[in-house]
Amino acid sequence: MRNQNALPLFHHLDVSATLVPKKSKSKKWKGEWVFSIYNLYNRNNAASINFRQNTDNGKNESVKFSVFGIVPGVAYNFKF
Amino acid sequence: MNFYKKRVFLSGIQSVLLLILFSLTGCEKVVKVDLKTEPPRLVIDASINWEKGTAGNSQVIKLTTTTGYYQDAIPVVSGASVSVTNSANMVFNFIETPGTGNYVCGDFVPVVNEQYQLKVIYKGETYIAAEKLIATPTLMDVEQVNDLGFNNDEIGLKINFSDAADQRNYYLFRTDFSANPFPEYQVVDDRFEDGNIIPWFYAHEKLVQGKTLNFTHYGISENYSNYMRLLIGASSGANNGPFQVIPTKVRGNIVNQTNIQNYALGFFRLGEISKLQYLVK
Repeated sequence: MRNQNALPLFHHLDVSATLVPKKSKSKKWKGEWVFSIYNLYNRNNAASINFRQNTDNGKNESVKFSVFGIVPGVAYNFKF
Repeated sequence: MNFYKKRVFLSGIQSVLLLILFSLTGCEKVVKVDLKTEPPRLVIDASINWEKGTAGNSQVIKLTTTTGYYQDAIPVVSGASVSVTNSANMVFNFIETPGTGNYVCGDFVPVVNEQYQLKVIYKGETYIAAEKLIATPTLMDVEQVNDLGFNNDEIGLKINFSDAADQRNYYLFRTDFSANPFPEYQVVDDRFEDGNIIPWFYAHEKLVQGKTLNFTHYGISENYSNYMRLLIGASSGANNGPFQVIPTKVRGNIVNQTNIQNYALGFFRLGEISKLQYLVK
């Protein structure tokens, strides 16, 4: 049975929108703002599953560890 | 003044953003995983303990089977034939208390360094194992310190025993503490401390004044020492750090003579034990 199992299915929805401001002649570079949301529906994807004995009640349990829930992001890109 | 106010406002926003960020990352959750369960395998818990100062006539061998990972009730095995034979071919029969999986013998004769053989017949298959009854030095005393840990306020205990010189000895130590749902085990040998007074160490964050601890000390064979070392490691799961122990089966000294593939788990061991109860000061 070794190596016959995999972690549960992994999926997440990411969205992003780019805002390009109107050109201004005073600036010497072209910039744009990127607003993004990673893992929109805040799914706790399993990064690992560990097995342990609960130290309070002594029962066997499995513990899912997930790293990122929903993560908003803001980025600014520019060319010069 | 105005500038000062502005700074406070900004750092407030910043800390809120930081808080949100941390609350969004990293999450541990207890889940049920759909696990495959192997067909049940026989587990023979044949630990003959002769408490020092008692006759040691009354002994119990427990037969169970393996079961699903999340199962709380361990299935017991009834209808097996269990016996132990000493080197003089004296047979001690272990009779089941019906429906419990506990096979009890009331007339066992323990002798230090005597060779014993275990025989279990279950579902037409014969399982055997052989071991020597090992002597155990008495737990002598307990030394307590109250200044362990980062804040120098944790309690630590040293439980001493005297090792027999000029021979290799292996020891197992069990601590029962009411704050723990299960006993804790440690294994050591006298490789570097032959003939000395050897301490066991015990510390627990919930150890406070007035708590009672029960220590049990076992002299064990080299084979059982190796077995327990592996078993303690394998059963610690992810509790020992971030990395999970690879799931494995630790096999003992019990051999299925009829069908070697259908091996039983568990160990047949015999030994004196020394108990000590300690009230934390």
